[in-house]
Amino acid sequence: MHRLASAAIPMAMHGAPCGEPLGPRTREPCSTAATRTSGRGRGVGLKLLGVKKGFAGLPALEEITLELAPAAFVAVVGPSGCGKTTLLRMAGGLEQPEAGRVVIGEPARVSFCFQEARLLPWRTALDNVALPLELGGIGRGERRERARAALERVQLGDRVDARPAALSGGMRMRVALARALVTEPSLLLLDEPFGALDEVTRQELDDELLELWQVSGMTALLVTHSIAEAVYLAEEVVVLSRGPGRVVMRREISLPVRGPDARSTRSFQEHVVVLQKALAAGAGRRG
Amino acid sequence: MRRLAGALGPPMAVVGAVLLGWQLGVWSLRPPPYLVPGPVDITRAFLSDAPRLLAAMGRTGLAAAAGFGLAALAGSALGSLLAASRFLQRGVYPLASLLQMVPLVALAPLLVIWFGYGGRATVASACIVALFPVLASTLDGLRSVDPGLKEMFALYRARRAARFWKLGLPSAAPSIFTGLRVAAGLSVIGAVVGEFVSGFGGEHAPLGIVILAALRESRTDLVFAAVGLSAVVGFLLFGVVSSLAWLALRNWHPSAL
Repeated sequence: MHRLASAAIPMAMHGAPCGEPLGPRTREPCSTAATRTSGRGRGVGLKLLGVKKGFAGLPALEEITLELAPAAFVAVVGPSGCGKTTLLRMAGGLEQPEAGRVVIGEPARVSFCFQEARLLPWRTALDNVALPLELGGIGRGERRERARAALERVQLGDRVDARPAALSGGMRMRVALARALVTEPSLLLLDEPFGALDEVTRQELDDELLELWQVSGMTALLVTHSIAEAVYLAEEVVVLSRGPGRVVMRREISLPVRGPDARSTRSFQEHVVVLQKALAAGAGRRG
Repeated sequence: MRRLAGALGPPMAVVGAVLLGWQLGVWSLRPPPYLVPGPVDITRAFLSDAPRLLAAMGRTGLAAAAGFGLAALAGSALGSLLAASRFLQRGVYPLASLLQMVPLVALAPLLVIWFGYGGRATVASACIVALFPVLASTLDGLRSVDPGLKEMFALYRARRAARFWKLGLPSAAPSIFTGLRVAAGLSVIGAVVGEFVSGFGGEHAPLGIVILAALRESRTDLVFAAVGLSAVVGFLLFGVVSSLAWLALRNWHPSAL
């Protein structure tokens, strides 16, 4: 009811696509500082305008306004139960806000990546990735080809025929990521996608996600409780307070380098410290 | 082959030990043969009448298989229908479970009235007992589909048919196969009970009638032989269902891995 699709938002395209082409295991860090590098420029704008939501009479999210420019990467961090997942679900239309509205630019091709991989255990990796295309009525040949390409993009080109039970947790998340990307989304919504993985695998996947975002030019909204992950991936980090969630800080992230090398930079650490303080302050205050 | 031996070895050994103990008991205690015949007597009774007994087993097996097949189709279709509609679920499911509670023996005379004496009443009897487990397991399986996967299909705007064939049915398959396994054994019981009430004697007698006739003649050894053959029918049906389950689930479900 509150969801309106605004007219096409013109896309700014500056800079050459970073990190393209993406060979297997290439880790070419993008060196331009915090520029919005966009590839094909298919990202759309996303606006959450004063959205509000409660459950069972209790407010879960207070009026929140969040605006993402096309091809932006924004991360929302907050303590458990601050309503950040609800925020994401409202952005994707899985839930309706009580007040306020959600506006997505055109073409609104929204993909979700959930905390769990949500794969069909009876299907191979390839057929799992092809599922959204299959349900969208795309022919067998084309969807298999695109699914294969998507799996190659997440370094799983050699495991196309494996079923989820035969894959590690990290690989399963890669398959889920490939499935989210196979439709070439203009908006990718990520709900703590790598939260259940070990630290090393998580960083690996973060690296890949960053590259994929840079290459594709899609808009991305990430919800996480890891500040380091948020700073690493996003151009802007929004901190929510403990529920009912309010915005306690918005911070632009500018790093001298993007990519794996960024983690060891001084400015990365500074961002983390500042955000951690805001998060702690927001977590302390109740109600 | 080695796997097959591994699967069959232990039960065969147990059965062998039981038969041996039984025969030794009969030899040493010498009970009257109309009370407890030994395995040797039973085997002799079987061999003396093998063609007739095997034909009887074939007839009973066919009736049980037909009843089971009908129950499998009707049960899974009805279960799917109930899963799709809350109204039907509330309205029909309690009635369907009544089917389970009414004793089959009490129902069998009705089947004779409706279907007449002979095979059709037997098939109906087998079908009725096998229906509920299939229906219940289908409904249960379809209702326990992972909500996360359901949400994903909703996100992809999957149509109802796609949600059923690509998500519901495969998710429910392990549960449905459990119901089918139970139903396979029950359908043999249903067939034999049906034969008790509706079967013909004479040349084309099925196992149920062979049992009744042997009882009248106090041929306990023949009763045992016929009972043993009805168990074989049950095993065969169970084996077919288990093989199908394995084929369908072997690639992904823990029960078949």
